[in-house]
Amino acid sequence: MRWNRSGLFFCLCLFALSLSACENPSNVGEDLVGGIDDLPEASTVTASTFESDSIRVVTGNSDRILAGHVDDPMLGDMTTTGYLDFSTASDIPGEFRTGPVTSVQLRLVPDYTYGSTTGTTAFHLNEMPSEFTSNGARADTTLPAGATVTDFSISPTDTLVVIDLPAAWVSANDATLRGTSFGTDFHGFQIQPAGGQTVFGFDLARTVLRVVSNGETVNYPVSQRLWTASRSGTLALPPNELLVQDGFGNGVSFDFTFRQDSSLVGGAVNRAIIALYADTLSLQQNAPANFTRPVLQGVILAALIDTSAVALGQFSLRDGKFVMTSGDIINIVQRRLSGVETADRFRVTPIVNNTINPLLLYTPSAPDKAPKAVVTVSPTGE
Amino acid sequence: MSICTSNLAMSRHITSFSLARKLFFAGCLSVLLAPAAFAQRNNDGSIYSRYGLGELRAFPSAQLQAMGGGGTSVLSYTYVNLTNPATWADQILTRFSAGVLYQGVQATDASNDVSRLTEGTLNAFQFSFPIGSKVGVALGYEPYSRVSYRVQRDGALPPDPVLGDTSHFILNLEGSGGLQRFVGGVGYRINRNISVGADANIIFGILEDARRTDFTGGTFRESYLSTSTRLAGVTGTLGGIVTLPQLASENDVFTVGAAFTLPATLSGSRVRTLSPNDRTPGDTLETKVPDGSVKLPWGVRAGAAYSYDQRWLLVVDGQYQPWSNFSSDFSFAGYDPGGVSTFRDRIRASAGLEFLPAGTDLVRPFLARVAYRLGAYYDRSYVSPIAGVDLHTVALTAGLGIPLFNPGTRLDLGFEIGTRGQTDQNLVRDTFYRISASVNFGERWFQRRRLR
Repeated sequence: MRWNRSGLFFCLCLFALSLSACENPSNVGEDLVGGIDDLPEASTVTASTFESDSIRVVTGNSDRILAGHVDDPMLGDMTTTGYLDFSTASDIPGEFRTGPVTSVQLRLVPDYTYGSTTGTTAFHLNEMPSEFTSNGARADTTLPAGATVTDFSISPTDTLVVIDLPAAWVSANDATLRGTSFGTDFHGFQIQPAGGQTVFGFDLARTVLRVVSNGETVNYPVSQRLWTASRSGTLALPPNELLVQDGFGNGVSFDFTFRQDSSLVGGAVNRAIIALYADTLSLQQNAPANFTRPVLQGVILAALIDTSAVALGQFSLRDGKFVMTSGDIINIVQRRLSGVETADRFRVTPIVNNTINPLLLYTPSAPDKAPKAVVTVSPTGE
Repeated sequence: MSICTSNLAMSRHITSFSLARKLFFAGCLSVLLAPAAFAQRNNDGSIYSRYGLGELRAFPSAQLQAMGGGGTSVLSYTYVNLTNPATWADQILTRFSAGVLYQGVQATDASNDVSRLTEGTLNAFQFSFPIGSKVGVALGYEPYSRVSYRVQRDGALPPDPVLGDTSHFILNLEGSGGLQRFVGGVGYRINRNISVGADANIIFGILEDARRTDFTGGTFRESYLSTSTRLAGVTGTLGGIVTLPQLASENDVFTVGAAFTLPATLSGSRVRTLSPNDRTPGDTLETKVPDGSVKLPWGVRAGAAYSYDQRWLLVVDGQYQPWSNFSSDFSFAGYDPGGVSTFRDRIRASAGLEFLPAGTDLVRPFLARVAYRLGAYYDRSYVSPIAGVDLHTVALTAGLGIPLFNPGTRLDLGFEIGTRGQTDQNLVRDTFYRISASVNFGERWFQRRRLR
């Protein structure tokens, strides 16, 4: 048995020896290796196409609804209309059910303003004649509205808007408002602008329909919610700029002809940066007095493949430009350089945030601020 | 045949069938360790291994490796000699051996810049057993070629036009892999003077060249482009040995031997893979090159050995292979299917000496039972980085054959130091050393115990 233990010991020692390896590679011998001079390099490619595109924005079931009207000298006449429905409250005192309902208030909390910061904006509060479904509903949805319940107005400085519904309407809907089937019998309101120069956003987490019945007060929370947007008139954009705007789904699609740059073809992509430059100054300077025009701060970059879009990431506006880089962008550029086309083009659209915030992007015709891709590749020696 | 006498005497001490389990255990251990050893990153050898199919390797036996690496005519009951299947006819014990190799390479260029690289690998397995008194069978596994190099260059990118950042990079060109040879064959002793043998060789493996670019900092992705060439094919070797005992004295044996290896066609496939790096999965692009074949030339080797008094063994050997006839559908460094080839005919010559003070006496002191070996070889490489410029390798070898506690079992240590190439004409001079160790087991199998 002695030799066996010794042999095993030797085996283990020799194996440990075989695993040990150290290295100090250097430039010695590099002249013998073809391709050692093919070092990584970066090339800048300007967008070959850059054109307006659009997506259909889903505004149903959002956290905020917009309502209002603004005639923007740069972006046209924009109107947004809000729709709200309410569900029964979770905890209703027994006395509430016996009635009668003596008071109903629609309480709105503005949390967003676009347009005039001084004047008031008038609204019609209309009844909805039937149930509407907000799930998946888009900003271009058309819904018929019923009779006007009341009119009201909002000032940009308001932090809480309380709309007292008329006694006649309350009396007419007494049984519905305190009944157990309120959620299905009541179909909600349309908030329709009637002139004005401001679009407001309302925080739906704090919006309620307050009903007082038999001395008991109950707040009905928002159930279905939707807002729609429409534009008339023409855009008056600065030359060499395209509009990206939340709410309306305005975006830009663009592309690069990477393979026309011979230094890139066949290379291994180490980094791909897409840079889009924004004109934030024009949006600020070309606004009327006492006019707020918040600038869109975030966009979604997508690759358009056939008829579908694959999101490549969300990017924020910094120092007047979007600098977009990710592993997915590298993958797409790599495949295109390798002749494996997976994307027809790129597209940026607003991050949907229930606003109508705009952004102006420079086109390839803009000197110094043309959209570009900076691609760093390692030559493959092929 | 007196050269075998000591082994016969030794073998009488070994009758325990239970040792087979120990041997199998050690064998299985080595086999289990093999994949781990091969799995490590081993691209730390000579830059010249980038050329052709890599640096040609062989491991004829632990004994012969320390005697210059040649031994076409060496008969042994203790070692399996893979250079010539005719040597397998003379066997008494079932034998198994396995070994590892550790090597260091110091490369020097004309500017006296130096790089040092070391590696360790599992070297070879050998297994053999007799069938009767005239036939022996052997199986072996040894490296055929090895690709193992790495050079790098670093630099910096100019400031990015968008981000304004500056990043440093390191470009690594590295190669790994190689071809292996699995040998199986039989030797047959026709009479007391002549033995013949034949074997089949399966040559297979993957040659991989890669470009890896690493960056320091920034939002860069490493890139790893590898070109893998998978080859496999079969060839065979025919050999013969003539034994002339008592040539000059009563206790000497003179043998001459030769072996001829048939040309081989290896079928192959090549794939280029581009991935983020070699360690993590990512978006990988594969480009397959049309399948093709690689034609290896025939080879011949011949040698002579002289054994005197059971204590001295002198070996000389030569090898020739017309690699200038090499052809391939694939390109390799030094070979373009439609253009230039820097392949040359390979010539190898070696000589070695072994001294075993105790001879066949098993009761002599330990140091007298150790075999002391010395050798040297010259090799003109089959491929050169520059057309018309030969690449020469000259090396000295040495070794010890240490008897273990069981007769028939030895631990063999081998040492090698040599130089390859030159520093002029933009070449580099490799100074290399190798240390190998092998464990060699032997015992009787498939025989009943006799009751006494």
